[in-house]
Amino acid sequence: MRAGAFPSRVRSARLSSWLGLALGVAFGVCFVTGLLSHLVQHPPGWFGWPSRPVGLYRFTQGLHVATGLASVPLLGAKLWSVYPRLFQWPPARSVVHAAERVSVAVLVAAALFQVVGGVLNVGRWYAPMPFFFTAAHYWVGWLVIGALLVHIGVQLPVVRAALARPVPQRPGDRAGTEGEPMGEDEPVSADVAGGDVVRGDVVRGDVVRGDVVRGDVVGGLSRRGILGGVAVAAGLVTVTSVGQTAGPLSPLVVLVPRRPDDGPQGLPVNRTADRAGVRDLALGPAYRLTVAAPGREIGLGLDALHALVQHTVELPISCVEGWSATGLWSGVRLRDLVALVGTDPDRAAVEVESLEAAGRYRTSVVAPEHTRDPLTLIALRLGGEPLHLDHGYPARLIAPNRPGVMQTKWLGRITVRELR
Amino acid sequence: MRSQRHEDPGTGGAVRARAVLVAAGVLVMGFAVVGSLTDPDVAVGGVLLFLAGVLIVHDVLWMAVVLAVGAVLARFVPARYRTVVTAAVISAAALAVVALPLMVTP
Repeated sequence: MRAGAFPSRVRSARLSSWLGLALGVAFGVCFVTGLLSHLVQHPPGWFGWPSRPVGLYRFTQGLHVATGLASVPLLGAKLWSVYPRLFQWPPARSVVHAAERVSVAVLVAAALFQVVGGVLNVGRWYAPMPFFFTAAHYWVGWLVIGALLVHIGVQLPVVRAALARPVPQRPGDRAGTEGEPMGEDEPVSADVAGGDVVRGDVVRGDVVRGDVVRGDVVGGLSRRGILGGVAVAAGLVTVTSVGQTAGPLSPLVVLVPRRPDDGPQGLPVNRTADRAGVRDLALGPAYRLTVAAPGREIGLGLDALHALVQHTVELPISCVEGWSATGLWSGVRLRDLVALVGTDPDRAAVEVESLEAAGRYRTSVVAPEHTRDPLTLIALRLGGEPLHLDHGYPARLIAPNRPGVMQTKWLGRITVRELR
Repeated sequence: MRSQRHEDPGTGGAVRARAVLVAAGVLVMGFAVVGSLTDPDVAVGGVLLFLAGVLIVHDVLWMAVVLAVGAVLARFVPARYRTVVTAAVISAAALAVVALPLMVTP
């Protein structure tokens, strides 16, 4: 590209470094919270997830989505800042340089994949994504972190130098530098030390001579202005979306499809009974909840379930998409049902199955911590009324500190396993 | 004149740290590739398509729009308002991106 093709003089190693640092922190938070969400849903043998605090998953997943959405302006600004480097010439000076450029391409593609995919998922627009979002988002999450580590390793000295130099105090500083124009053949290290000259492809002499070299303010727009603008944008995105999980901010929610009080019985619904194809089975008079243990099996109709001791708990539904809402649930304690079939509830794990015939989330495993927790209910009522069909009528699982997809609805069968 | 890349790699400790970071990163990327190829829930073709798609749409379409808007701002917005206007445009763009699925889905 010819010199001067990217005229904005706000671009600098320092701007890219600050944006990169912020983005690195954001992606780190997303990676940790995202990994946690994955482990909760697919727990390997060594992973234990507690049943308290009740709202822990709600917090970690809310943080995951909020940080991801706030990354939209961060990533946009970062990619703008380094865009001229896409046009470096020659494209590959050496094999090492080519490998580095490939790793940057992977980083950019993967970062965009995660952020754009995440925005689409939160907005529930799946058409542009020809894959199962959850699994792809998980693996590309690893890809982006790997590419990020490579990028940090490569760029470490540049970032250190760009962030280390003292910042000029005011635009008037430019006066002090007019007496020392940058020479045309000064190497880029001076550029890094100087910090504010466009790097990469722009011929140094054109940009530098007679123009502001040090100091932040160039033609009215400064690096701080860009960083400030990005921060404001991130704040606005957060304020208009995080209310989907943080109740007090819910009136401000405009950017995401769901407010916490938006749905039947005052609670949002992701998967309706009709989508799950359970309407007839759930409403039919032959409904039985089968509770099975080794050697014993009982079938409980709705009347029998209501005849058991009922308890009422307040628990949130915390969806993986980052929204959450609290409900007042009444029903039978899971541990009481376990005891009913002759198994010690303090040493049992349970698998619950939905009436839904097919579907990724038709069953879920309830680990011992949740099985023995008295807050874990087979819920029959929400807010004092019988469960709405879309909320899982006649019975659903509700447990503390558990992602929404694992709070199985339209329960048909509970299988109890005793632990040795 | 082409700027030469002239970077001080740093002390021995810094070089080692960088090597560790790069090696770890490569391993993690390898883990991601192997994992996604062996996970039956992953439609690899679809993932690759989307990866290429977002990269191209961003680098070609999106950046063209951004650079055009930037040029218009630089040309028509007086210097003293440029920071505020730029901040407003960045916010508007970010909010539009996040809200896009809402505007498209019924």
